[in-house]
Amino acid sequence: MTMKFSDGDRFELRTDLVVEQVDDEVIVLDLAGNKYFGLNEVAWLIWQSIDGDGGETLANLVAQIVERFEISEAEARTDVEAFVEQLVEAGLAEYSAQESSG
Amino acid sequence: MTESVGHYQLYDLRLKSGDSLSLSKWSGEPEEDWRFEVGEVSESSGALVHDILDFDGVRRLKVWVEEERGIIFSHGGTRVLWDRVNKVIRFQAGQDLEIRPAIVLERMVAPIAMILERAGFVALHASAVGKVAGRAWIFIGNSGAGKSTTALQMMRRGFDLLADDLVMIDAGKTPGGKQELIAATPSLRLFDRPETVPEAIDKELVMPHIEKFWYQLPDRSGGRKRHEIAGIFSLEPTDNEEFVGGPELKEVRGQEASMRILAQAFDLTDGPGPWRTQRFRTLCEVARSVPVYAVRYRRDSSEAPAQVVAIAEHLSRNRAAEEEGIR
Repeated sequence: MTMKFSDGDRFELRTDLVVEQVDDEVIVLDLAGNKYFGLNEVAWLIWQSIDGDGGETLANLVAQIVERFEISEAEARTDVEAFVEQLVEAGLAEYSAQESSG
Repeated sequence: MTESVGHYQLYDLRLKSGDSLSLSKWSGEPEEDWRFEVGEVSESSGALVHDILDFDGVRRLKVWVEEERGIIFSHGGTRVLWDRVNKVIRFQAGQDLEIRPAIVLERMVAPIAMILERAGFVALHASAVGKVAGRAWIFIGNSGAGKSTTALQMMRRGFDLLADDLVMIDAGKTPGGKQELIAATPSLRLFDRPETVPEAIDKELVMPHIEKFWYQLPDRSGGRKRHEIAGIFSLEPTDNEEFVGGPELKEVRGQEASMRILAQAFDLTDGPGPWRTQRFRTLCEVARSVPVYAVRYRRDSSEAPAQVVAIAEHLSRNRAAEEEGIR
């Protein structure tokens, strides 16, 4: 992992992404890059959470994965960070660093 | 001298032409009546939707959409107008025309026009055969995977050749919600060996500088243009010596099925966003509703290649199971 994220960092998906479900799996079309991506179950849950106005913070994503998959916070954090990093690197999600509270 | 008018099959269009075209003669009821004519087609100033170097690496294929005239194609020096309003295809041959008009129409003009104009239409880089009650099986795979060879060998096992190298699919809401294949003029593109396709009624080089022949075959589908798609076989030959044993045929689903279909689906280089969204959704719909099988095998050049034996056995097992179910 190369990027460092903090709990308050916020992730938001681009709006020109097309999602289709085939059987139990999900495929995404990136219209701008004209590429396809497959999402596994964990990735799909994270995707749904950050899809929509304002996106979602890293801390909330980790909490949702912990609750849904009953895994440790450390494991969930590893999964979430790895996936959001991929999204940011692929240019599918925008990332805004936590605002300083002063 | 009297000019004879022929009625030809261009997918599900009945094409009337005073010039002889190497397409199947139309049989069955017309769905639409179009006219082919030779005439001037001026350059386009419309929206460019496709711009690609053709497979021979010499000609550019460009496609524009105009509100006034329709769809304009330019391929090398050849220009074609697809006029949906008047149902006319106008053809202006370039000085360098070395490809039959029929091939330009069937391989470029009609497929691109159909996927642009008709919702739910997609084209796959694939070959297809049909049998019994209008059902079709499609073979997808990379260039050289053996799609045409598989189709030829299935034909020799009693199947009808429906398309080679390019398969048109109507995945829109047809009655019963079925996915259908629109048959082309039966023809095969193969490297020539003596007696490769003795069944052929005509044979010609695909392009003068490419050692591949285009064989036209008799149309045995009895005028049926639409066929329900019963399955897609994704051909995956290997030259790996370590791959021992018989061919593997297994059903794939979800992402794997979709990605295999998406990888072989025809795309436009500059297709508008809404069009590309629709195309993606349609292809995923095909992956959801048609069984997809991955076939891995060692290449061989016998009359009974491993993949053909595996596919034929699979189909005969399925048919036996279906008949069992009916009883």
